[in-house]
Amino acid sequence: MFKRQKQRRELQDKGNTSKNASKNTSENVSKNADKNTSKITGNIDEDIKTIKAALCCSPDLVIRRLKPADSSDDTVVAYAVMYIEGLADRKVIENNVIKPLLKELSQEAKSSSDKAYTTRTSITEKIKNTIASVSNLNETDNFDECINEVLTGNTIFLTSKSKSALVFNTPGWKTRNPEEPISEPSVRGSRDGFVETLQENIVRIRRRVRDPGFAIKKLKVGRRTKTDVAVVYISNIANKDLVEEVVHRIEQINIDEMISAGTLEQFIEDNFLSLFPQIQYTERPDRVVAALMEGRTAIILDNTPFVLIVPATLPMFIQSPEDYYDRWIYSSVIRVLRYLVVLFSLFLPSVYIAYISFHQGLIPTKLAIFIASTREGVPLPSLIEALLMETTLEILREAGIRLPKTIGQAVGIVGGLVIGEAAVRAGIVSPVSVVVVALTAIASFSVPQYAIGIPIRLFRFVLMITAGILGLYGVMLAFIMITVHIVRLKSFGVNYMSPFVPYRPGDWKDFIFRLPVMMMKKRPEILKTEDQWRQGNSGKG
Amino acid sequence: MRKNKVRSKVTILVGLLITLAVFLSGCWDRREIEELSMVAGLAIDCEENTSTPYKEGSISNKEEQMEFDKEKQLQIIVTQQYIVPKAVSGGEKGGTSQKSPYANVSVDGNSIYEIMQKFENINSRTPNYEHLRVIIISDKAARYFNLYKLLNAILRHPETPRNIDMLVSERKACSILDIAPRSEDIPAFKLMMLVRKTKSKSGTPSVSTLGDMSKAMAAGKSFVIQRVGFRQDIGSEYDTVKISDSNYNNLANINKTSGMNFIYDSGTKGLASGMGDIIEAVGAAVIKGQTYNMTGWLNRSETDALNWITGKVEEGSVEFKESKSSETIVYDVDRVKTKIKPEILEGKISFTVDMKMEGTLVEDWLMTADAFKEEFIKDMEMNAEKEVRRILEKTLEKLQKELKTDVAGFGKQLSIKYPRYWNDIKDNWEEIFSDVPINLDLKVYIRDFGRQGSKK
Amino acid sequence: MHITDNPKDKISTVQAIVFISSLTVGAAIITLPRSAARSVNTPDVWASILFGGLIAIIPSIILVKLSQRFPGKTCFQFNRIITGKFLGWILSFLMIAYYTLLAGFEGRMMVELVRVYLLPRTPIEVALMAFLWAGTYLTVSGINPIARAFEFYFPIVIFIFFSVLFLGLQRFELDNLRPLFGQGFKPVLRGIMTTFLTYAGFETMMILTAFMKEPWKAVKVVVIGIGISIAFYVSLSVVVVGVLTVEEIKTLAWPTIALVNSIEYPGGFVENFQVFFLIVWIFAIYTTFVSSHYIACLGLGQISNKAFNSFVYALIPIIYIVALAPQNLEEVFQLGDYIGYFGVFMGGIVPVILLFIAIIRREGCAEKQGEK
Repeated sequence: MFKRQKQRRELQDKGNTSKNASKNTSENVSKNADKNTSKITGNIDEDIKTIKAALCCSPDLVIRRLKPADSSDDTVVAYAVMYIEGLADRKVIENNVIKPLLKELSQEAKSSSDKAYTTRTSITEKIKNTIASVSNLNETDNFDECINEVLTGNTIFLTSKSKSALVFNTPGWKTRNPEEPISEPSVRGSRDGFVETLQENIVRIRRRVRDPGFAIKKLKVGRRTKTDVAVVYISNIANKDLVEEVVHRIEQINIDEMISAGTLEQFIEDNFLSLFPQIQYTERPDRVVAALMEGRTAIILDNTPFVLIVPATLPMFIQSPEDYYDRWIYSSVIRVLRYLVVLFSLFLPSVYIAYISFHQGLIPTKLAIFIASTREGVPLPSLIEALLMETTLEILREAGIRLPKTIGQAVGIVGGLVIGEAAVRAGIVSPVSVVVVALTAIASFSVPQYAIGIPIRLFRFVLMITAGILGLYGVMLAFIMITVHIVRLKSFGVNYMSPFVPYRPGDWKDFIFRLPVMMMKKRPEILKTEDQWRQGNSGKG
Repeated sequence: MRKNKVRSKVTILVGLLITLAVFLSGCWDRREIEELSMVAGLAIDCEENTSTPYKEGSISNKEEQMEFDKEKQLQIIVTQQYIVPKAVSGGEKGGTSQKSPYANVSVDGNSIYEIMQKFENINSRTPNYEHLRVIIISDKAARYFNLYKLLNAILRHPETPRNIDMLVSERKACSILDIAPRSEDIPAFKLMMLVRKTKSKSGTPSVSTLGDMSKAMAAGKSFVIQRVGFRQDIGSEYDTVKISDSNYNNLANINKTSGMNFIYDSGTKGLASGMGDIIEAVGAAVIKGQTYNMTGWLNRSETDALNWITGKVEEGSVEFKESKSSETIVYDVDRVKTKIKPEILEGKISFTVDMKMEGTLVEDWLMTADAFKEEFIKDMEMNAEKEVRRILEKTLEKLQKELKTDVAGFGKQLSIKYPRYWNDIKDNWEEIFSDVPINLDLKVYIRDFGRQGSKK
Repeated sequence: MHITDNPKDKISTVQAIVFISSLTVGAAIITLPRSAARSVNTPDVWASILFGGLIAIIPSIILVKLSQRFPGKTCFQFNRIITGKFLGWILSFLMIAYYTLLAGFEGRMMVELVRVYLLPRTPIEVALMAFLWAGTYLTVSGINPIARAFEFYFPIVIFIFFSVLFLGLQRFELDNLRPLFGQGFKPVLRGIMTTFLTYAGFETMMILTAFMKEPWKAVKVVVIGIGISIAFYVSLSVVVVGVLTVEEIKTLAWPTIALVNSIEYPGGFVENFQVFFLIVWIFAIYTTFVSSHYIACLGLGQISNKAFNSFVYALIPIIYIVALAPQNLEEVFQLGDYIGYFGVFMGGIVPVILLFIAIIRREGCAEKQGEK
């Protein structure tokens, strides 16, 4: 599937090995470069000092030293527990690490004769095996990792005279309760949306997919933010090349910060200059699960409730998971309506301008007379009028986003009704333009995914201008150019307009109409999945 | 490599944007809709050139036509009816507007296009012909001008639609455009609605749009155009009522001619001003194919007969007198199936019109009528058949002898069955046609009689 | 994408069919009734068109067989092999000239139609430029996006075209098509000389076969492709003649649009069908233009061993000049006729000769491609 990209990559890699070498050294930007790759010394005070120095300006780093109560002897082992306030779960640390350790230490003090376990080698073993009742436990021996772990919210446990540190996995920050996704409300589907924690999001998906083939590839992105990324797929459904390509593209990202999935999206897209989104993002787990089962890959970024789905095709943006929960005829009709709505919201203002300014003969006569009579006295030509109104609408839209919900609604009403009405009465615009613009706005709200609304809004303006210059001819040519652009786009090797173009009749069952679920036995051909059958024979159980 | 791709794309984009500036230099075709002056109807009249005297009589063949053209004794007058959108009710700036929603302007000249140019100098807005709905030609103009030449400018104009209704009027065409209609705002639209509504009714030819005319003229065929006239036209050769005085109080002086009842409209303030304002669209004007001008009229029943022969319109009512009691019986035609069968025997052409007509008995003035009885029906069928035959024969005679025009499509049927023969005679067809015997094989059926069958 | 020898991109069989049909169905949609009516002079126009198409299948099969002998090579490449470098170069150059002329002609037709029916006062240079850019955007993308774009437009064209024809039946009179063969078969034969020209487009198979994923299906492709164009043109002529009559068509410059204009439906949408039909002819002419432009550039690229991309922009001025060369509409139609004759020569005569030579000299592989 990605033959050409692989070849290109090999060429690139050969040419870039020298560049890579220099890249690695430039990555080490922090002041204590040499110190970070060094190993833990075993001298606990030194170690603590090193770590403290690395996290120089973080007063929220908590260091708890533990020593047997009665010793001032250097040979006695001391312990240090380090974590960052708020990131790590204090309760877990206190109850499961410090408490049993203190108990052990006091016992040690009582039976002071037995010095066997105060030797350095076995102490971490002992703590690992008998004392720390933390389920997730790792060991590390270099500072770099220690610091990363602390910053991730885990706890570092240093033992003097031990060259390795224990890492307890104790995430303890507060997460938002799952709420209904605001951008994609659902009528009949589930209402839990994704949250900002990576693991929680994975869990949300795992709850729905209990297949052992559910695979996760964990990566880190962002030199300074070191954000976790999980590439999720079903291992014997998804095409291996696809997964490889996704992972490779993410690994190629070379940037300091990765704050949201939106930025990630722009880095791994096939064509970031295009107005059309080539990656879908969603807040709904059911959409993600459906995509995974088709053979797509999901990318989850820590700290973003939006999950990316790859590869994405244009029809995907016009479909909604609700379509599968309702009856098939109703869903098919609604889908057809949505396609019409997309065309409508794209073309209505430009076609209006083309008719009014250029091809008056094409309007039915009575309507033409009526429009002419209402436009008497309006000072602006229809192109300027329509542009003006559309721009006003966009401004209102922006305003509506910024304002709190209650005021936002009032603004909508004020802007729409009052200003529109007043403008008509003042004779600045004609009532027909107001109607046209209002209809367009309503149509654009019916698009299920916000992502596709953006190219529509922008192209609407382009179409209006071409309509104002060359009438219907301009509209047609602009439409042709838009379709040519769409047809050229690929999203991770899949044509953007699949399954319409190139023709794959097998996939048309789910394209415009949504045929009954019983009939959709195979997975989409375009994804070249390993396991073709969804239903019936040779299925998985 | 990605950077290079981006760079080349950006350069192309910038280059494109610069050249796009060309487009900003002008939107050459932009005309806002309110800047247009929509012409809804045209009326073509002709008038004497005061310099040369007017020649009487109609032109019967090509040579005379050419002679006449050379002298160009008549000038064309075109009246355009513009729509004034502001005054059309229903707009938001509504209420009652004192202005009338249309305006008629007349200009004279020697060619249609020249006249159109003159119109552009008069009007403050650009005339737009895309909403042209009717063209009315006065019968004088239709008789003396070659219609193919007259309408050439209109046919060529890219704006004029092909489905304009063509009408021939008895009097001045511009007076037809001047009536103030009641239900429509604009006279031209009223005419259009009138014509279309009556299209498949009795007494009107089936189609006569500009496109159909063009088709017939291209083939050199004869055809008919819908007639339009005033209900109380004075002194016309058409079968209408003559009113000597249009004052309401003088209705008693109204003359009745054959079979037509007068009507008056009690809604009007009076038929006081001029001709009255009731327009009827009934009857047809016959246009000869070779010379492209009008040769005569067909009245209501003749047009019906024509429609029955061509089989295009299955309407029409036939009124006849019952043989014994001379009471009026009316038969309404519902379906007509006609086949024209040409025959050539020893070089002699003849036609048989095989017509089967089905209809309803809609009215009878006979007290003893009993439609439930079989014999009565049969009797009525025979009477109806007689009358239909009479009408058909009268019409065919008129077409053959008086007008010498084949508008019923006999020639076409001949060409289908005997194409080689047709090739030889097609140039003289109209002459030959006048002597060809036409036999009628007619069968009339009464299928229905409505809700009430008898009077007792 | 660099195409030096073999085209690396492949198109599927369905895409090839769509390509050929889209290429052949071009501006002739609007003009065919008139030119056919003029040469046939009887209502049997449809018969001429039908037979013209059927006859066109013969040379197309020949040239497919020729191309199949040289798998993966377009005619620009195997010309050289068969007839030697110099002659091959001349033949390829003639083909390139042919396609350039065709592209210019289509551009001019588009602009003429726009000028009459859409934008009377816009200078044709502007309309032409806009069209050329829209076309270039697609041409530059290469064969695969072109094939995909054609696949996108094709069903839309078919749907609207046949719906409009169907609606046109409202005014259809069977008598206008009679008498059937009233003047005998001679007028039909006369007409075939003209109608055959409209199918010029099948010679593209000499290039298209090289791009096909399954070149052994090329014969099927060309037969179905021409079959679709036959369906288009024959149904068009039947309806147009039936509604407008042969005599009327002879007088009209754009008969098909007159047909669309005569469609009336109650409810006031009297004029709007012209808008739908607008979509049809814009797409039809656009696809023909893009494919000819692309093949011309491809040819130049293959002759000179460079990427075809560089020639895309270079050819635009030439196409522009060709498009603006005819001084009036009659000259435009004449240009169309000359291109038609040229196409017959390049598509009918040359491949036969080439195949002959190839068989004699045993060039290329005669066995069929591995039919999997």
